[in-house]
Amino acid sequence: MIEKENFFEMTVAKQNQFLKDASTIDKKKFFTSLTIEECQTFFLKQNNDQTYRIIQNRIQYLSYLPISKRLKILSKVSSSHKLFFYKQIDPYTIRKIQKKKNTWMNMHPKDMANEFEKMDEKERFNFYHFLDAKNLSHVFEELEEEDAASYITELSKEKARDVIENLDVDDAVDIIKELEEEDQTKYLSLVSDETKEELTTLSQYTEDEAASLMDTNFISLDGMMDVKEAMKVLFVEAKEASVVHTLFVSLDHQFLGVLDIKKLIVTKSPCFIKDITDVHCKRVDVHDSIEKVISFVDDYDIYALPVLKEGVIEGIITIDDALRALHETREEEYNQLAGLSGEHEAKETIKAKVKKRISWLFILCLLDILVCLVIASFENMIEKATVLVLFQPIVLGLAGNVGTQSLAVCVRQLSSQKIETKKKKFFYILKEFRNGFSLGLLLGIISFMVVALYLWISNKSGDKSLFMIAGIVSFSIFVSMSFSSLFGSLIPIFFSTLSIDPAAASGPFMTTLNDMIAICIYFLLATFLLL
Amino acid sequence: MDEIIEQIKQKLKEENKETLHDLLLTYHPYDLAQAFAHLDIEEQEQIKQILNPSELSLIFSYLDVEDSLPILEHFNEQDSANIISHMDPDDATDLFQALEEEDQNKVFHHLNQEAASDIKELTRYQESMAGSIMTNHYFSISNSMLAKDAMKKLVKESSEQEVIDVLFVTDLSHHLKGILSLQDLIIASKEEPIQKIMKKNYKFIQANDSIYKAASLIKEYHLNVLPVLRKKELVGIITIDDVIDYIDDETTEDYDKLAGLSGKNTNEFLSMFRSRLPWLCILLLLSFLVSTILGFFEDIIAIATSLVFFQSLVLDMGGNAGTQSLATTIVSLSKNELDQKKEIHRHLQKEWMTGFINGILLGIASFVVTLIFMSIKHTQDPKIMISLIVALSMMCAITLSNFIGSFIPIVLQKIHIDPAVASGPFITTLNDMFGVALYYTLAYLILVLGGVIS
Repeated sequence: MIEKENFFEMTVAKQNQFLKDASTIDKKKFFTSLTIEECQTFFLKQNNDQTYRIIQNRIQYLSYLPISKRLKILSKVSSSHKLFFYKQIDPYTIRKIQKKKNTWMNMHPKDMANEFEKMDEKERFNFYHFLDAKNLSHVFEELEEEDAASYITELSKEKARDVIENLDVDDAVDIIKELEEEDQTKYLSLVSDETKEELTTLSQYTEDEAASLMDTNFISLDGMMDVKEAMKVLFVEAKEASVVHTLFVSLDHQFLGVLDIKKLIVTKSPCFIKDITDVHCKRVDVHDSIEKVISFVDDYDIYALPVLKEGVIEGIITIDDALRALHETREEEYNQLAGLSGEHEAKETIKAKVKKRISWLFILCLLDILVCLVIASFENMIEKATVLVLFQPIVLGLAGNVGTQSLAVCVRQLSSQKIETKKKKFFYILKEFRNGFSLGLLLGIISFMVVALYLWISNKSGDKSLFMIAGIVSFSIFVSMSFSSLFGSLIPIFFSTLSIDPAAASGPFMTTLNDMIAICIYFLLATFLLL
Repeated sequence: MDEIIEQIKQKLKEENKETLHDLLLTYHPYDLAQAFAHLDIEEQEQIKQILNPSELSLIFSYLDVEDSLPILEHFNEQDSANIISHMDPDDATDLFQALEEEDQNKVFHHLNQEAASDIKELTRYQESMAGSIMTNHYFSISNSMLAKDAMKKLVKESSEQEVIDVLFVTDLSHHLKGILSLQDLIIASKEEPIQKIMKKNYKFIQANDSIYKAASLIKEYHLNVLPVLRKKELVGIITIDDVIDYIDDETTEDYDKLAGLSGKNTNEFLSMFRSRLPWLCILLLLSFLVSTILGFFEDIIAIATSLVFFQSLVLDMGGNAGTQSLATTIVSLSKNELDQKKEIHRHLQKEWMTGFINGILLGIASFVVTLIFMSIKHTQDPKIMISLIVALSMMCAITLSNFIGSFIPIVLQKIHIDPAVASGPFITTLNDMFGVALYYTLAYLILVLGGVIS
């Protein structure tokens, strides 16, 4: 029987000897009797950097602890040591994890990623330990980039390297971009030269360029190959490739066209690859816009679109990546319409949220001051007919909203590349003016009746004629709506010709301009008619 | 696109039949389809003569149904039937259903047997069901095969039109047992039984599930094809290119609601009216509520006219902040990020705090700006007091609208109403009402009750 009190007064060597001699039952009793503090003194040793690690030759005794205490001890250990340490866990824990691993392995990476997001640190470490780099990289591809970046830093150096090597290059670039600068250089120095080169080339492109969606794991054939040779290449490279249904053919290093795998399989040797290649296939340049990629893939149903740089194939874009890009573009447009920066910000901290939103609000605030100036210049008018103030929000609201409608439609049209030529732009703007004109006419008539009715019931018109005021309100609604519609399309088209993103820039200008015009029309008309 | 049409027109005049046939085939069917719709009847007739029915049908599968119908009017029943017979079942069914009932009966007799039974099968499903967009152009192999048998079958039976990425493994009663990627088949050794290399863990959908479910599965799991089952039997597949539009739809709907558009927005004048008018009318009525609230404060407006100058500033800023908050919340909801109570609490708290901080910052800024503004303007109204009113109400309005913007969509979701309904005009007007009430109540409290103005 081991006495707890005596035990901790012994020297370390003696303690070890003592345990070695004790029977299993004694050991079990001893370890169950330990308090958590005693467990810590027994198992843990402090590192130089104030973190803990487990004393090497005492790891074997961990299995004698009840699970809850075992986990408490583990949670004290610093992450770099934990990884090393999980390799030496007792059989019971291993069995438990292994069981889970089997269910994990059968899951789709997307489902794993969903599970993964719910895990705490400890569970994540099991996960890292039991999934090989390849599977782990699939999971990382499914995670949000900034999450993936923070998890990468939890991995051991070797594992991180292997995971990055296994990631799709486009995903790897996105994830690495999210890392702190010093981590970026650290991880880039770990990976092989080949991967590093791929990563650096790809990271040169902006997020709007086709190359940023590119996948470099494709099967490339030479046009002068025989069908038989090509089959051999196919067998060797199929394992690593992300796409096997389409093969990409070059001739003298210049891209020639694509080859459907079925055509390759059914064609009998001897036959040059170039003779069965589809040379009319669609292709994009590395610098082409994502919008172009999306519209190609959508219109032509292309499952793998070749991306060229000066005629040489650099990579391919798969239809599912294009689909995601489409989804992201749409979400970005949505956020920008609401005056947010493009990215979805739900997970940000309050500080980051404030930072992202305040600049936009400040701009709007300053621009709104201009509107205040305009209103202030009609002070006399307002004093004489306060009733006009009552309907100011209606005029501004309607004009603003019809402007936003036009803007939203126009941004969509621009992004799907439906209005490209000068002639089309001109007619588009003209049409929007006509739309605003007719909507304004209709709402002007409706508002005339409603305002007149309102004034008649509430008797607020005072000494002014009821119909005069209703007339002023409705006529200003009519004119300002026509103008708003015009500006709602004119401004984004103007920005797009300057190659400024119309979705991001148009909002505040349009709102302010529309407000000012509506106010001017409203009060000028009133000055003219009432004074 | 205009160039392509010109090219084709030119060539129709110059070239003879044989060269023209090859030439037309160098174009992608999508381009041909776009051009075809712009050609006159004679030119269309010419192309119809040159191309065989299966080439022609490919063009029709790239045309919108509305564009196909007027072209088919010039075709006789046999020709129409030929084209429909050669189309993919889902496209064929779409086009067939768009025909007048009378024409449907006529054409149906001329369809080949396979197409007729496909169309009969697909028309069983409602428009929103996954079954209505599936095709039976998939490649299935038996689970008793070896890898080499599967390869042999692939070589023998694969047709040109479809992209084969995945093979479907079925048993004798055509129940789906697993899927096998082409990649795995290629790298497998020849003698390997299919049972061993196929994946038993795959995503699938039932034929009467919704298309949106199919679309989101395809998007989330990076699939190119999704098998469609009836109970366990494999009845068809849905390919990624058929669901792109549906994936797009969901975000587009939210976007439209934020901008106050409803329904489909095409370039047509009438549909523009239908799309834009409803929200404008609602907005008109809602803003009368704002006017009514303003009406209560007419007296104070008459005393301190300067208040009116800044009214739109306060309202606008509240509206803007509220919209930001609303959009974030709606995107979060659509991404299922707010499923648990804890998450909702955290989200609301964050939004509220963000609004509060933004409110304070902008309140301070607007205080300074208003003060400068009033000094330059030389009014008799009390400068500091009015600046204070503007600043305070701005702060409250922003905080409040952030709260409203995040709270209302969540409540709507809870009572099973599309949260995006709250978007745009609705939330702005609601915020306007609160903003106006807040602004003038504060003014009343400070100016009248505070005794600054009697």
